[in-house]
Amino acid sequence: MAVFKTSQGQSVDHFHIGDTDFHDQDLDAHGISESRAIVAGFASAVEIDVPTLRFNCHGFAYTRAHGWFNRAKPFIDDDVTEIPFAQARPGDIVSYRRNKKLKHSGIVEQVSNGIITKVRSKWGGMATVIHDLHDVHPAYGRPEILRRPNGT
Amino acid sequence: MDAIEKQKFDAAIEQLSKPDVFGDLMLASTPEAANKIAESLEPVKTLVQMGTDAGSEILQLLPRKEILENDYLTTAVLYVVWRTQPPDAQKVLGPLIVNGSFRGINTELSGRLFLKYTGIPAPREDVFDVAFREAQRVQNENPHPNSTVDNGSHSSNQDT
Repeated sequence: MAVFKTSQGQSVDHFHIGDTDFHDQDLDAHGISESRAIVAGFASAVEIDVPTLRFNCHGFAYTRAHGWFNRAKPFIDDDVTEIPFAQARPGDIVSYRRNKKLKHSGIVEQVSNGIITKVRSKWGGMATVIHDLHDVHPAYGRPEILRRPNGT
Repeated sequence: MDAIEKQKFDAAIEQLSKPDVFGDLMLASTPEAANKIAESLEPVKTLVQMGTDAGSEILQLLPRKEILENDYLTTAVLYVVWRTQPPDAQKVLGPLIVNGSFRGINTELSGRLFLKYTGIPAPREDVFDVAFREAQRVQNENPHPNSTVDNGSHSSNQDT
């Protein structure tokens, strides 16, 4: 398992395709097709990057799609600062939580009159999509915390 | 498990094996999200409701290659095992962990599950590393593991 470091030097385990304990290869045509069929069930979701296993939501939101990260806490501790939703602007990171546990991360894409209208996020082993703030799978929970990358 | 229960179990497994059923698990980016999605799947609900007998049956399916090669199906099976608590879970999971049979999200899910059955509190970080070391220790003490990856031939077990 490879290691990636936060801005404060904290190591964060993650996966890349081909790692011994990760997928041998990326999605094949069948997997991509299955993935797209599921995304099609979400009214607002628009695919902006092909379905892939190369990275997940945390990897997309905190590391510019470097890899697949099961944990986002080190990044939350070191690289971002919580801000009120009323101050949202593009580039901020939304944490979706359920029962107070982080389930999904997304990047604010569009804000209108102080309200987040669009989010860009990677849906598991599926596509990267732009979607309405609340139009996500129930397992992701609700958008509860907004954070801004430090220095932005 | 009586004949009716077995029929119910087989039907649930058949349903779970369909891509349009387990496909939602592709949405999971994290182990926590994977569990939430797994618990929402109808055949998983059925298997969990059936209890420990179903857990024991599905645990025996886990080492099969066709299960382990499908990460989403593996996630669903691990969830059922977690909820139903079959007695041999530790013995089946340990060798699979040591053999590197789990990938991605399932490395952490299997690690947590194994530690749960060994009574070791799962750490917040490095769950799989802790589980791997413990599974290796158990395997070294008992060099005749209950499970290795089954290549489907049913004539022998074969490590991969």
